[in-house]
Amino acid sequence: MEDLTKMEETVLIAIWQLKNKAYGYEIRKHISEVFKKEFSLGNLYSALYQMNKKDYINKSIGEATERRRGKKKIYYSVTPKGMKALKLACEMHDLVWRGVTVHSFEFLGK
Amino acid sequence: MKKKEISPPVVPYFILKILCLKDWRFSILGDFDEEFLERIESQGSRKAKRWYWQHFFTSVPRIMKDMWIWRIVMFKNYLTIALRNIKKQKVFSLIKILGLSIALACCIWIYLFVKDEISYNKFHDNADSIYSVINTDNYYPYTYRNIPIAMGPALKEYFPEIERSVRIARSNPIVSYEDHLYREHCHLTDRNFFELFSFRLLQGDEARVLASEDSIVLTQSTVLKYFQNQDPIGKTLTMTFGRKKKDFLVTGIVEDPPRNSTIGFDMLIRIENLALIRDRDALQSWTWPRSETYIQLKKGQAPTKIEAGFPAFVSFYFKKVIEERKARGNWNKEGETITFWLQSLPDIYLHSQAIAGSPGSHIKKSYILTGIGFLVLIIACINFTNLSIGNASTRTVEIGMRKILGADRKNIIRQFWSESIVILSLAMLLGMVFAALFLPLFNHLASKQIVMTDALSASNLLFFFALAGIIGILAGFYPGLILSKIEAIKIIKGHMKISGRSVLTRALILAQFSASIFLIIATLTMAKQITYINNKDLGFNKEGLMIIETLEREDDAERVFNLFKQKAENLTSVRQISGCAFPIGGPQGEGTLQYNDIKLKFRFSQVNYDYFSTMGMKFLYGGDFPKPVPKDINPVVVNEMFVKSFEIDDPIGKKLDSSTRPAQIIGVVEDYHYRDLHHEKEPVIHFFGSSPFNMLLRISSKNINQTIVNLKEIWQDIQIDKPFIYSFQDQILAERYEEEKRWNAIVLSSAVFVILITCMGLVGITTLITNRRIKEIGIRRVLGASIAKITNSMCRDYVILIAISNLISWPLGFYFMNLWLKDYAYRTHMDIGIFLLAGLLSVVISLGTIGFLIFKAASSNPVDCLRYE
Repeated sequence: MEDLTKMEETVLIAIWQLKNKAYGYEIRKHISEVFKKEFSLGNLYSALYQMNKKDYINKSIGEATERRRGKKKIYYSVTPKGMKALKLACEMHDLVWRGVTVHSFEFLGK
Repeated sequence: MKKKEISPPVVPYFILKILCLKDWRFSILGDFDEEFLERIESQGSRKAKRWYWQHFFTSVPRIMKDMWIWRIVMFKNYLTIALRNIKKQKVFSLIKILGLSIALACCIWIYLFVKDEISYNKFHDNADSIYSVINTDNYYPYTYRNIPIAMGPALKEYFPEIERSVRIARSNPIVSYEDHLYREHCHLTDRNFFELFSFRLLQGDEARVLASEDSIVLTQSTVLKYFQNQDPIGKTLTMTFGRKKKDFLVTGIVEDPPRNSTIGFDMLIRIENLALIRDRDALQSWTWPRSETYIQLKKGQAPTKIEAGFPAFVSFYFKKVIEERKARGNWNKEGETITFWLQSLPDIYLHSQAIAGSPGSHIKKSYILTGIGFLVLIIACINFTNLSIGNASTRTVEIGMRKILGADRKNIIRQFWSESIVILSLAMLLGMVFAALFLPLFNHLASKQIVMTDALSASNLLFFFALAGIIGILAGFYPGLILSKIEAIKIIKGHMKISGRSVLTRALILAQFSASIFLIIATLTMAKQITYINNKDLGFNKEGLMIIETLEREDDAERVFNLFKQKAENLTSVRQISGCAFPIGGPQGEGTLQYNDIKLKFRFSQVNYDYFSTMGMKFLYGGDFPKPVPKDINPVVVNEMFVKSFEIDDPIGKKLDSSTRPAQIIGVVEDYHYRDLHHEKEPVIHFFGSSPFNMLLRISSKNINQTIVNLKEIWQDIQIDKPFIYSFQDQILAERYEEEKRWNAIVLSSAVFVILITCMGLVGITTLITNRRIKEIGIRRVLGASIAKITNSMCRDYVILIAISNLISWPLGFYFMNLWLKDYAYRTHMDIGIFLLAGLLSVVISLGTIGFLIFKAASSNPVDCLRYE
């Protein structure tokens, strides 16, 4: 299993957190509001496209609203494979950061 | 929130739509839309739009990279294969590319032509809000762009919607500076000329150059003509209008009016000078003189508003004119007789056929040329299709392999598309080279001054390559469709054969032949009509007839004419001299006459003594004006048509009018062509005029140049301050048919192009067929068939095709060329000779092209072609 890129990881977490209302616009909003990161829709879709190909997420076609001028949404959900990748990323994250505390950075910063 | 729905910017929206893969398209666009809408609500539409654009630019590279990467890789592969194929089949690729490049060169020319035609007057900054006021008046026979001179300022005063109005009166004064003496196009205009129009001043200030009635503004080329390198500002030019002279101070230099301007001039002076040229009250006139009047509407005002106000305007300002006409009994009670309407400035060039004295073009020309362009393009595309399909057998294995490796039909079609786009792009490059090389030729044919540097703007290049792309997709579609249909398994097993002799191929060749033959018929018919025009007996002798302008009016004209005549008659090369108001083919007078119960229009002309014998016209009854012309009667000479139309028996001595000095017929001349051959003969009255604008000289055909020099010497003795301006009758008439000659050349060249491309296609197809049948030919030869017999049997196909296309083209040619001929009152007829000649030409040209190929194949040694069996 390949490692997730930072962006894929972020998007995957956002999809998981949004549960059943994860679609393009919402995901971008979530990332920018909760994670304070700005992705362009192009970057977002690039990540979605790659992860869809790797089978980390599922697509399902949703409803069309007037605000989208009649274009349907695509909802995403994390597949078991995706969850596994996420878990792996999390473990990896812990391993790398073990023993490093935020205080050490503060110290260095001074 | 506003109710009005604000949609996202169109350009990025559509580019995104094209770029996104189908599965993702609606979702990506939907997300864009949703966020865009939210931003409108929170930040306003301007910021939201900016966000859309910014986001579009940052998103596109990612979308391209992820979603298109495989397509691009595949396309690179297609491209390699395409280039390899072009290299491998040099002859066929050359035929395809060369044919298409010729056709594309035609398209480039025609595109530039049409673009130039529709560009007229659009260079003015306010072109959209400037209108020309047009007058239709039942009292006069035509619709005029010239309206009464007092109207310009009155319009501005009457309609609050009008920002400014400018009058233009055209004049041709004699201008002198030191020893320079020329006749120029001088426009008399209002001082705000440069505020309304966007002619660029090189020296002088827009608002001030025409501030004084004595100031004059020159164009750059006029400055060069009179002053060479000196600074003209502050110099004085002398102008002569008839008897009056006036000095003008140069205050400004304007850039020469561009080619695509309907307003062309050499110099500009104030319109108030009309008081000097005509009389003091000229500027207050509501009848004559007249001037072109242009108005600029205030921002946001519609021209219909002005037009709706015209009836009230007319009844207010034209009260006096109408009363006068009523008093003279000239007021037509039915409906309005003085009406005005507006024509927008950019419309003037292409839509002024109904307006008198407005030279311009016709939109029809652009349509016909576009049609020709498409025809040539289609003919070239047919070659492409035919050769691609015919040559398909060489590609079957490749396609089979691709299919086995997982390509579906769409991929195969896409491959053919990329190939045809490559070929079209190469053809377009070559076509641009052709177009640039032969541009002078096209300019000559179309009487344009297009330069290639104009053509190479970014938008034009984009258009050219977009055109190449579209044609590539269209042309590559059918071969792709056919070739993608084949089943892989059959190809690999070797069962598959695609024949080059399909019904479609034949039908397409048939279309090519038909178009060629049609164009041959058109060219021949046009040439025949032009020969007819040139050789037609006009009723007078147009050869060796010189016309010299007196450049004077009334008594002065009479004095100049008599002096000149006296001296010129001594020259041996001058046979006879007379004079007239306007030469045949020039401007003409028109009037209406009631005789007994018949009321008809007639043309009139003012002529001097010996006019009829100088022109070489013959009298049917009566004779020429007696010398001197009696004062008590008003003698006239009419033409045959006049007598016939008004049904006058025994015409000599008949009186024509009931007024105090009635015209009396003293002679009837045989009909002659007073106008060009587009028009029927009309009744003509010749009055006697003692002060001609033009002198007519019948000169001997020997040593014409010496005669001109001699005449010029005489002229300079009499008229020291006037230029010597002359022309020849046959040239004046030839100018009337310039248009025909040019169109004949255009149709001829398109015929040549079409035939050339068709022949190239024929060479290609024949090469394919002979290659395929070479073994069959070998076997036939071995079995005893003669070369002649084989050649014969192979040519038979073509002969049948040509015969059928002749049958198609003849009626078409007959119908359309008769339609064209109908435009002439005097025309030749289409005889069977034209059709037979066209048929013969088609057979000779096509068999001449392919005969050699077929003969070579038929006479090849059977041993060579059968060796491998």
